[in-house]
Amino acid sequence: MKRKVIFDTDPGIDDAIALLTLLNSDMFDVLGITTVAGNKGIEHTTTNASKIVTYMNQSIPIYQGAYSRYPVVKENKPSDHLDGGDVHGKDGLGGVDLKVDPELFKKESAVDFLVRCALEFPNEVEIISVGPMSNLALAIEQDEAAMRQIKKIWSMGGGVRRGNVTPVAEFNYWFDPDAVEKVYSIGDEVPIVMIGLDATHQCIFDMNDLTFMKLACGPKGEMMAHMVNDYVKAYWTVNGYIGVVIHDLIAVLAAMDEDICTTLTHTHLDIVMGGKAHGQCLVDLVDSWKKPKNAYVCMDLDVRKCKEMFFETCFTKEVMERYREVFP
Amino acid sequence: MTKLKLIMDVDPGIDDSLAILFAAKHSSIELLGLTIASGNIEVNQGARNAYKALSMVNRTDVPIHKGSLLPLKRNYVDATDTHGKDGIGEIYFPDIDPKEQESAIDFIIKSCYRYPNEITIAALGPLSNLAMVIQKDHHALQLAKEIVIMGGAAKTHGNCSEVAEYNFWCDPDAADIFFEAKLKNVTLVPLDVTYKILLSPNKRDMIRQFNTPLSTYVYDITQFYVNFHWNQERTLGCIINDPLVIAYLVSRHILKFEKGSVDVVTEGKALGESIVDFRMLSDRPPVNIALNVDSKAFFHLFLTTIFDDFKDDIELMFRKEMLG
Repeated sequence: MKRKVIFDTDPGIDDAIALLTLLNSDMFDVLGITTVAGNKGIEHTTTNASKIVTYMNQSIPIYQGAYSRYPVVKENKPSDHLDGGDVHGKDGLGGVDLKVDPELFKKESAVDFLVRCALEFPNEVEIISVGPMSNLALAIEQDEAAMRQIKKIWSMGGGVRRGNVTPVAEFNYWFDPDAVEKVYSIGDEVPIVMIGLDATHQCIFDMNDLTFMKLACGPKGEMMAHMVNDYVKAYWTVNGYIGVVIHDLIAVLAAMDEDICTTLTHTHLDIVMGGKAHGQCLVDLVDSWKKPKNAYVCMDLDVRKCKEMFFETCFTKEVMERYREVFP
Repeated sequence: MTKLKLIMDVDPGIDDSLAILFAAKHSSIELLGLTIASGNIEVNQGARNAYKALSMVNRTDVPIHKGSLLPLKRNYVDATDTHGKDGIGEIYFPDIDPKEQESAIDFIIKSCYRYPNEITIAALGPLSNLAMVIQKDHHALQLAKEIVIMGGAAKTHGNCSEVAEYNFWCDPDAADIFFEAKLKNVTLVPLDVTYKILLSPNKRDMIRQFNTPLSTYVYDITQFYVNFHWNQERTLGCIINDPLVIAYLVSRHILKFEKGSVDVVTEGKALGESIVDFRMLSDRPPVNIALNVDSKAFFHLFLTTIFDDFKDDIELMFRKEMLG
């Protein structure tokens, strides 16, 4: 039986690559996609999610979610958030032109959908969360008992020793830290795997990889390489990398095979709200403070395995073998 | 050769005491004075402990200037859980007060003007005194040749919380004022490198075998520390942060650096955290952040300086690889 999964996302280029990989995998029964504001505003992220599903000729339903941070949505206030700017291109997909199938959009809200699935399939549903955690927090707010029956949460966000929005804070967790606190409050019962910047930055898809993607992986590879093209300049400017980090993809790969996380520490995670360290994760990797454990934090990746899994899943086994030949 | 004119700002403290021994005995350091802050132990006992350390190496000629009794804003929390009720391991309980001197703040300011561009300051405790110097005379520290700080954590975990190191955590407002002051030639020696300075049971026992009053003192004051480290974090031996700064002053190759700007969190759950921005996007100037250390070179220098009468034995033990 396929694993039931919900993909919670704010596409975003790396979200799009992650979603393409998820939809190409035969491991999952994707119950639905829930969208959230983050990299871009909610209308953009919802449209972008539908573009990817349409491109894949699939009919996975899309449920629009939080238009802003969890405390803002909870109190029905107008959105006060800033999005991720133009890191992902003006449209959030690096300027790739894709069609939208309007049939995909569902009336039910993301939050209602999450709770309904949790109730309908107790201890069966996994969530891959690659945007701000606003929808998850709102779902817990609505029915915590139900959400405690989620089987597992895979979260791309946070960082232990690095940040991106500030030296210590990562975008998704910084964007909605109240939601992070809420979600990890059920981490005593629901396993939450944090794939943060410490892990994702180990897996740099360099220009060799991206050129291979463009030339050796057919039209889909060409489209994906085009999509990440805008990212290349950003990573050179900001990080001095020749290549890109596709953060959200790593959460999907980890969900497919947890063994790519070569260091996974069961520990306590807290989040800073306000002040200079706003949005920073506090993670006790050395278990010095003996606080209750609510997170599995990934600090190291099997990078080679990540890349091979990506090429095999998104394309074919032959493509992956070709990759091995070209880059032994 | 002119000696390095050094002021040590300390809160002794077990590892501070070791740093005092080290600086007081090193032939290329001219120790102008010790200034004391409340940190590991409150300032008055800290002064007594400093005097005790100086007396162990016959250097009570070095003046001891008491400084700040309390952190600038925050409630004072000492580190007697780590250092013992007397601050140096609960064996000696030093009770001799050093001779009264002018305040630490005035002494630092006067020294900077008296020897412009010649003074090195090794700050090994909370930065309360240096922040008060900045508040009293913004120009004085600009005249220091170099200021080396033991404190903070750049890419590693803290020792007071997941992210905060004690000296910054004890007086975060002082640390923030210091890094906001845009001083030149500032070096930070954070936990990233001091965690590597482990005085192992093997090294301690060699020290005990020397069987002199000084070696007994060093062995005794570190015992409490060893027990603490085992109980707290299952480290066998004790981490001696502060002497690393002194070693660096006389042997520059011991540390390797990257440039980063430093901000300090003064409130909330990350209180006392040093936020180091290696991309330097903030308006604070870059400082040298030590990220790599040659710990073997450190221990060679440290041990042969303090126990200079046993240089041959120490070198033999290193050659026989018995000091791991």
